[in-house]
Amino acid sequence: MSEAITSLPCPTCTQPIRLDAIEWCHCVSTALSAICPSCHSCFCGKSLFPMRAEWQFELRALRERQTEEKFKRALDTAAPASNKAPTVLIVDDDEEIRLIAEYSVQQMGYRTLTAKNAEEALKVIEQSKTDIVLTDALMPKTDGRQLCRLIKLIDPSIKVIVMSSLYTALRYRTEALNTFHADDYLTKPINFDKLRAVLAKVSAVAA
Amino acid sequence: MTMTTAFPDRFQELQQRFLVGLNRRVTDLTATLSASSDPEPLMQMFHSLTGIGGTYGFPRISEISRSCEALCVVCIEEHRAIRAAEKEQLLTAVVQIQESVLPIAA
Repeated sequence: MSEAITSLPCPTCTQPIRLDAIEWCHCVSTALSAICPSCHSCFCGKSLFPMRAEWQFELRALRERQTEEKFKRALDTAAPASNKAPTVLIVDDDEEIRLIAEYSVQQMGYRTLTAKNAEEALKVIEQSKTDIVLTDALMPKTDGRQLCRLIKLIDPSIKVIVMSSLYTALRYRTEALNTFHADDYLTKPINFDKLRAVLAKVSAVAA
Repeated sequence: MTMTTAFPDRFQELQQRFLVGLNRRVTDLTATLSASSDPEPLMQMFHSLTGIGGTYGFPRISEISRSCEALCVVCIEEHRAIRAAEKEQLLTAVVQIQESVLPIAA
């Protein structure tokens, strides 16, 4: 049986990087990359040779384990929604995002509604009491940012959280908060710890 | 019903659903890449995968898709079609996306 890998050498300074305390690099790269705690350089763009092939596999497996554990942790303390729980309307043109967001938001103790575009979302808001809207930024026709602006015109008390993978860029965050008057933003892929924190924050403000 | 007992089944169910959908997305991406050099639809497809991969517990899919999306954005900003060499890069990335879930999907 092969020995469990607990650390790997940094390709730059060769100091060991402990797998249980690894930090991930967010460079735009097709290679999964870590940051060395000693020299603070990342693996991005560096050849992993002569590192053992298992390390590549181990890094990927570790990252997936961490993500899944994080997801479970974020939802572990879930409480069923009470009648007083705020209602969150989830708006995304991607059904798979709607499904996982709906499920996780329910597990966080909120009631949920869903809509697949901005037009449908506005109808839902008209018909049902909505406290928080969690919307994708980029959608066909009216996008999430325009939707945010419209909601604030209809009912400024509704809190709007805009989410997009674009929000890794600072200019888009500024745009969401200042131009479109979003109450908060989230980056995609959705981090469920952050989602829980943001929902708690905006519902506290709404209360 | 407590979260700790309900979570694994439902999460795995959603993950399996995502993996089935991923096959369709990969087929669509390959067909679009073969049929056209227009970066716009590809950018949207990769953008969608960037957001969804990590959300379902597959950060590698998001990482690969993000770099593909960035490449498409460059083409759009330069008002040009995707070049043959870039197409090859994207096709390789699509294979990597599929391979990144093979141990789980199998």
